[in-house]
Amino acid sequence: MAMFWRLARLQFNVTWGLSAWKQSRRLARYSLLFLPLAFAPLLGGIFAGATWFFKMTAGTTLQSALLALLFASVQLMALILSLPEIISVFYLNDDVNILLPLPIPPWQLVASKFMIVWASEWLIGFALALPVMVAWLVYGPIAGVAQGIIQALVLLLVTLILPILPLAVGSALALGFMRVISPSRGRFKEYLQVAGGVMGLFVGLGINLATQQVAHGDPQLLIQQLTAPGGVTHLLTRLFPPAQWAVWTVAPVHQNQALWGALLLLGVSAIAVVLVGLLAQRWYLTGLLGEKSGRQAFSRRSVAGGDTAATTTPASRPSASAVTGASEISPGEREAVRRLPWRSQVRVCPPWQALFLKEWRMFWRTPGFVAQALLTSFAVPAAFVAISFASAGKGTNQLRALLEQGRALAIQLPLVPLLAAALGLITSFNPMLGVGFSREGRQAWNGLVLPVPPWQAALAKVGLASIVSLATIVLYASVIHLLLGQPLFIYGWAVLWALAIGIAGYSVALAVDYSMPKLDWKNPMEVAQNSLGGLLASLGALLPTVVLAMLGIFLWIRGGRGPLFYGTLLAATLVIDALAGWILVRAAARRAQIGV
Amino acid sequence: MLQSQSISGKESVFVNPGPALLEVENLTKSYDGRTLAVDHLTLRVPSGQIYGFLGPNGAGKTTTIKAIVGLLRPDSGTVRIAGVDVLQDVLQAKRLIGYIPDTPMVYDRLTGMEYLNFIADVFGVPQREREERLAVGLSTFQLEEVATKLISTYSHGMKHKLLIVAALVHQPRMLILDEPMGGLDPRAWFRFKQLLRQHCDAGHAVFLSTHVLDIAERLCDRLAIINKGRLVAEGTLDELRSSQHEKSSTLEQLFLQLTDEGDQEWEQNQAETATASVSHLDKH
Repeated sequence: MAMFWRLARLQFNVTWGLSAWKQSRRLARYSLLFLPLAFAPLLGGIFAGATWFFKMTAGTTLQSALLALLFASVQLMALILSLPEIISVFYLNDDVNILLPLPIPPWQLVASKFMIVWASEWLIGFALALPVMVAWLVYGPIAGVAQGIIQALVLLLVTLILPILPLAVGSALALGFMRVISPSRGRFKEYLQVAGGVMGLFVGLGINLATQQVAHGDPQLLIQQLTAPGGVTHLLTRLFPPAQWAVWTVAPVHQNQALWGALLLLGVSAIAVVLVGLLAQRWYLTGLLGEKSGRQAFSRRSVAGGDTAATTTPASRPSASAVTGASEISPGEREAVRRLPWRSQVRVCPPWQALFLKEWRMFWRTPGFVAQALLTSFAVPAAFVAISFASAGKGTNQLRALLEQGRALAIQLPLVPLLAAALGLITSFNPMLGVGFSREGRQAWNGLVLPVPPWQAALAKVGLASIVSLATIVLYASVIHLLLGQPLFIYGWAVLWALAIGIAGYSVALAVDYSMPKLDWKNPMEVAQNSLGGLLASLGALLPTVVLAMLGIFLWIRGGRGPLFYGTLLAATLVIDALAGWILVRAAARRAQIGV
Repeated sequence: MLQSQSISGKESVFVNPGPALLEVENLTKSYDGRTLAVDHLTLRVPSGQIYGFLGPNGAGKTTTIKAIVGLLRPDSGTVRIAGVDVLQDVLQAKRLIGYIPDTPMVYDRLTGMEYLNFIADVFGVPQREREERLAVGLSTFQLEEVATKLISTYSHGMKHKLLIVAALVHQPRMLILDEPMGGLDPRAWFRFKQLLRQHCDAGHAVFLSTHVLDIAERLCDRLAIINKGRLVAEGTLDELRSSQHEKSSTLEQLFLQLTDEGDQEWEQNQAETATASVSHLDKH
């Protein structure tokens, strides 16, 4: 067990950066204290809401209903939010490569990592639950319940134990899932994140649809169900028995109930953790190494076709000096070259086309980029439409009413520029397309040492962004056409205009990205995350749309109509495109000279 | 000036240095305006020669190379490749360079063949020459079977080999290598050394940064040693020996002398410890 505790301490140190924190400057060290201050308004709001609720429901069973709701939420949140974290911490962390060769049993590795996830989830859950618990301790206790410090400690212990069961379920799911899918494959992490994103979207969609089905979407019926004696508590505890056990422990009707509640909560959580340990012992290595047997996998981890793999050599191999230009190749050798199996893949194309093909291939072969770029573009509107049409009763009716109003309004407005601005805004709001340089990461030197004019390299990136965004624009335009009607040619013009706006947006974003790249990422998802450059690039992408929209509004307010209105906006679009292009070329040239 | 050089310790060739293919004059580069990485460095690499660029860690080797290949803008000084000023006409200069960095970070979402095609396209290598050079390169480094696979599935050594093939596909006048032996197996390294010599025989030049002195001693026609960004010695091995009045010194001994900062005692201790460890192992 000494090894386990040492490992757990190491995990906490590495994951939370404790040593680095101790080494940091005093100001940076204490800046963490400002974190609670940042959340103070949110926590204060929750406290105020809970206080109001407890005062309003004094003496009723609804007070324990709120506790049940709180405990169930903490568990549900732990289950949903922790799944990607569990997979990430258990399997995708860099420390796995360090820990794996060490003589540590798999269950200890998993247990130490489980503690990290548990602590993280508890901190998040506890922070959000704290205001409710304080409000409950101050205003909530119903008659006959022990109060004071003991009660607060029990509450604290319960919140500590609550995440264990959902985390154990999540860990078991992750262990099973990873056993099927091999994380040793290069792009696995990204596929997993894509799957996670899609799953998250559908979970969100499902919850949305399910909540709209409650009480058949009728608010009166919902209030009736909520206010019925034990209605909410009954529903929640039926779905989440551990929440019921937690309520028994904290707010028992009699002392035996508190004992039973605590025993059930602790016992079931402990059994779940033991089961996870057993599963980890059997499945962790096999899942991690992507082999049927972890032991076998150690001996077969090298990449297929390794350095010294036997190769089929052509009958008459050309002389090695041909590659350096030291000698000419003989006719026999040339014939041998013609028979080489990969020869059909050697195709000459102009540099600009080669640059674009490189961008195109790298983008579509990186699931992380595709997911970020397309999920927001395609899946979100699809989900929105599904929610709007599939939800019960009132939602659809309200949507239809809104559409009727919209159609009536559309006739009176300059629809083409409005649509162009809306589509331009949507397509510019695509974080992975504007960071085309950062996407290359540590491989960026490849492009910088080549004799390529910077404007060509930048054009290839903008070209890719434009083609991907064109698909988005057309999709959204089609959906809007379905909803609003109006002649098709309007949408045609709007699509072209939006594309011009989008190109300007991506040029600005790419210029920012060239100036402030994030090239040290390990995971493609990091490109547009945790980076000031990425944030500024995203904002920069929106700039042309915002400028044009403001100009359009200004002209409209000043009574601009007809050809002058449209002409001014079109000219402004072209000027912005030219300006953005100039900025981009300058930034790309500067980067090509400065290097990485 | 004639000089004797050996490849793999077996064969000797006589190299007659030609006109300078790489000229570095008063190159200076500092980081954050404080750390002086390269301090008024002047070098001249003639055609037909393998030029070894040596120095301890942090001496400024990689910074110099990055300035040569156009990845870093120097604070002052000039770099010319075959007479083309890198700062004045960077594209033309880049056309003359083949660069292999110390860490093989290649576009790993492309297949090996796609990457090579991309490089050849950018350098405008015609179809026939491309096919022939790739056939030789892939065959020499045993990459034929994996050429159509994604680079992300390659090992470190395979990526390095791919970079070598890519760097040679346009037959650059100046091949610039930063720690080129990383990840190469003995067979690949042997073939690579042959290629380097043939490259120089064809009238080109190789600029090779390394801190593996054995390689430099066996492979390079001329050597430059830098320490703390400054050139401390330059010439053939014999010239370096003469300059230090050490007729029979190895390059290792010369290097230690030239880059010495008063830590001979530490070196001595290390050597004694190593000797003790070896004799201990021998006993067992």
